[in-house]
Amino acid sequence: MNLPDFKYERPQNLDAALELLRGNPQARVLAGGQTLIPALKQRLDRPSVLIDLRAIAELRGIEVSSTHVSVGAMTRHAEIAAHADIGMAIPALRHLASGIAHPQVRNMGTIGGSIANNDPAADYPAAVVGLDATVETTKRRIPADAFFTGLFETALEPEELVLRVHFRVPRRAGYHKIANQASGYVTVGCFIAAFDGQIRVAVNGAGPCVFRQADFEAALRANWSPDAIRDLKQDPATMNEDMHASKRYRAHLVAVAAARALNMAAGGLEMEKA
Amino acid sequence: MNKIVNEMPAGTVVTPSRQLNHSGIGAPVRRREDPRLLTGKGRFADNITMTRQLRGYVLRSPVAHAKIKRIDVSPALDVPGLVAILTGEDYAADGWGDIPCVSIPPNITGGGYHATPFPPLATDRVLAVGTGVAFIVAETLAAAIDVAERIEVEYDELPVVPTLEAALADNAPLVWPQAKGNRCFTHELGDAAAADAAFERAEHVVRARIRNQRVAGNPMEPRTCIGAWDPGDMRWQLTSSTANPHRIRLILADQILGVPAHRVHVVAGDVGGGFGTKGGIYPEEILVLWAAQRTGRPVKWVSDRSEAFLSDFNGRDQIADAEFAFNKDGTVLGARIVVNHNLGCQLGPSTAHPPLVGTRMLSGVYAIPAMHVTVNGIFTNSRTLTTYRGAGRPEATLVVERMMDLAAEELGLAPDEIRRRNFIRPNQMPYTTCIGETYDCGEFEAIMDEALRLADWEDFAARRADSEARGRLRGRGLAVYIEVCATISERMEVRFDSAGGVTILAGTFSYGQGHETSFVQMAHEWLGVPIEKIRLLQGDTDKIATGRGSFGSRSMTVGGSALKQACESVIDKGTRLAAIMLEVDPAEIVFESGLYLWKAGDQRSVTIDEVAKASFAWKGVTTYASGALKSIPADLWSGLEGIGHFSANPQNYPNGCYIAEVEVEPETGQVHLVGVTAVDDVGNVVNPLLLEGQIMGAIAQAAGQALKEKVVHDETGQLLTGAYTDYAMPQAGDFPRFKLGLRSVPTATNPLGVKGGAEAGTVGLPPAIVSAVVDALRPYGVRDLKMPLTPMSVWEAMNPEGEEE
Repeated sequence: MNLPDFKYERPQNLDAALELLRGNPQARVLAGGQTLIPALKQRLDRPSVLIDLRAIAELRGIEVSSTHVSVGAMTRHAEIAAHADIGMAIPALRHLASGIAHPQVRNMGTIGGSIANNDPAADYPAAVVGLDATVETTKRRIPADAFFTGLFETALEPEELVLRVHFRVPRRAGYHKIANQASGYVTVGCFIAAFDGQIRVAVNGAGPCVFRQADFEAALRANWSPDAIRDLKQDPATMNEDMHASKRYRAHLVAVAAARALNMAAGGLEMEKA
Repeated sequence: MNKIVNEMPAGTVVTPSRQLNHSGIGAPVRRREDPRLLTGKGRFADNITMTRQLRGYVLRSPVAHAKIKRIDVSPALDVPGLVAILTGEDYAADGWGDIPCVSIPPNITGGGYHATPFPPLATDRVLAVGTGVAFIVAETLAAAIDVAERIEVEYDELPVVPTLEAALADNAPLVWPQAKGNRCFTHELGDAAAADAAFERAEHVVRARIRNQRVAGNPMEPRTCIGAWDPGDMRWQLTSSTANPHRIRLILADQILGVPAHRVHVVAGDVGGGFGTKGGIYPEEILVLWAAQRTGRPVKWVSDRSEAFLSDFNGRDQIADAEFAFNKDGTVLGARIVVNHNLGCQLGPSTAHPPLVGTRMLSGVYAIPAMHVTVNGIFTNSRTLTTYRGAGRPEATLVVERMMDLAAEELGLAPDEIRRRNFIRPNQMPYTTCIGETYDCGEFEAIMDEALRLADWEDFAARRADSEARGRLRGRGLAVYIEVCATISERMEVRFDSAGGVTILAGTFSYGQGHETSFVQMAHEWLGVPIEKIRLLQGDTDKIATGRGSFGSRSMTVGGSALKQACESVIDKGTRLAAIMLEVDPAEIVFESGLYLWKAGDQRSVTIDEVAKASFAWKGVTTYASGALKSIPADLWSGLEGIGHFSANPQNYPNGCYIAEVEVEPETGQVHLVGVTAVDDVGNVVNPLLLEGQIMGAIAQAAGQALKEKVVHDETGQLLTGAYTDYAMPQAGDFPRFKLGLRSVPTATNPLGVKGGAEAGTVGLPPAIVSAVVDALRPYGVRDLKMPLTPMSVWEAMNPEGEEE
């Protein structure tokens, strides 16, 4: 193994983990390791200590009520993908989890790790924003719209850990991603959720950070129908660009992903006013 | 001489995997190596750990083109576990040689080409990202990487030409100052005056620039090697994931070390694929031997996947500017083609092979009366070029087949019709093309008709309507290919042991091809020995006298033919011994199914097993009737064995027809490969199951190149596709069920009637896919597309910039 040298700790409870973090800016917490471990192998980071959260029971568990789906930070993607009650409450969330990367990653990667890393090409940020979730941390409760602040940036402070994510159960929701052919990461994704009195359209992959598409939201609020967004366009200027997808192509795909997410949200049933 | 007969009438249509109730030639015997390989019992180079073994690590250049001003190792010297830091200067001081290029025969370029120094570590200049600048040897890999991170290398950066386009531009910076225009060599084929005359009387001329992109080989097992030095025997031992151990020994002994070859021992165990990219020698294979001798301890080097993208030699990468002259009726009159092939920054052993061999096939399956071809080898600041499955023939086939389709479009002909009007016909065989290639046999129209039937070509309209009803565009494309296979000579040896076991000592080298199955079932058929008693031995230069390895779809032709001769030699020797044992005239003995039989007489017989055991007898043999103890002639009294040789001169020409059908999502540009039909003529078939695997694997790699794969550098020469997150590989879910057929026309150029079968798909399928996508996009006015046909590139072709979406 070509990892750099570091100390390894596996605390058994949250207090012990926070104690290890305290006053130790070179410490890194290990959740599922699907981003951190490759980064360490490439020597992109040199932590003094790696604090493995996998033994902490308080960070696990899924609760489903009529209004919320609450997921512990260390819940693995595969657990959500296989969870029957989530499938009943928010099928789009289960669908999203089942489409992240491949089985090996889904069996290791965690929702807390994913949202704390805030990779623009990750899936979960779209669900967190689209489903108007609240991120509960060791210090406070952060609304989704305030959690993701920029490219690989979140509202999390040093020594602050994600405890749980509380998703609101929508009336309808859909998610569609257009995946990068090589990596399977999100080139452009769109999560659309309809609540009583609110439509949320969250776009991931396309820009530096997940964002709400206000024009699409307004159009769908007025007319919950594919026709409403058919002629809407995403401004290419704010899009990401790489060799796989230009700004222009990504902007175009935002509309494609939105239409497909909407189709899923409609669930093949007749569209109704949200 | 006993003759082994294995023939199939011309035009036989064979369904792959047909069920046969025997395990000889033609039977779908399951791979005998698979239980070992699939249950973790294989022995790959990285499974081996030598006593006192050290780890080696290559510090690589982060820049594409620079002078090395200074290498300061002092900050790294106190890292615990460091054993040695070796540089290019140390290497030169020790007098070891450079990596040679052995793929430019002097007669081809008139001896004129720009040779490049290629030491395993750079001395004064780095020429591509990933060039090795120091070799670190330490107790552990982690320690070696720690050392590498602390070594300070100061680079004086130079202008970069990362791509073929950049290298060909006017006033482009030069990779090698003496190579003007970045040109290594120029080679011409055909007759320029005759080609010009054809264009003068042409009624229609088609022109296009055909780009064949650079791809990475991506064998499943990354390169791995262990070097060891035996100071007692004064010998080097290299254990490697190489695909060609004897070739490596030859290069090491003759050109790197200048020592008798018996002082170099190369061993390759199980090797997990190579696709042509592991067949030459690599810097690391030399570095581990050198470092082992310097440190007195074995040194192992293992590439990780990212390092493979940086350091493995690449494939393809060609621009062809083609013009084809036609009559209005679609008859081709002539062609002029200028090929520029990216050789990378330095010449490796096989670098010139793809451009020089590929261009020989630019006439395709057509009777083109006049051609002129110019091929230039071009240097760039990118990794060295090498052979990759197909090696030049896919490039040539893409050019010819796309030109035919462009012509068909412009002349208003169907793609099958323009081909019918230009095929070389069976009654013209043997046919020598105007660029000098002589095809011995092939029935191109019949093979195309078989593919059209298998693909339901006629019913396409209904399928297109169905796709359109689902909001998708549908297209179809076909390509008829011919390639050239099997080169140079091969040696195979067959040895019985004292207990009746048979060992095949193969000069070929299987790294996934399944020779433990195919060669064994052949020996089983010819010798009548049960498969379980036959073993294939390969890959150890101390055990196998010599060999050429496996590449270019050569093994069945040259290895199989040599194996046949070796078996015949064994049978002939056995006949003499059987005659003594049976007390009959050897001329009256017939060998059938493992039995020496006095057919003309009282049917007395002895098995080859008994004869083989007798050849090891301590005191002569007991005879059949008299029971006397008879002595054995000396040449039959030290084991029953035979050696066979075969050279592929002439070579053979597999051919076939590939048909692709695609659906395109108009909103995203995503291409879905919904139909692949392949009908191949690979001559006689030894194992249809293995052949099917080869064809399927080649189809997957072809689709990978057509739709997904590309090595990309930015303008500074940085590699943007350095991991699977950016280099897109084909995956199982990308493929429909294939329709595969064989239509065999056995060749008379080898005693087995076989043609190469390992590369067919990579040669035939890419143009069919490109044409299919172009066909699907016809409503959008798309004429041509460049591989890979990624969603964005397809969408952009449908929605050109500046037009309203």
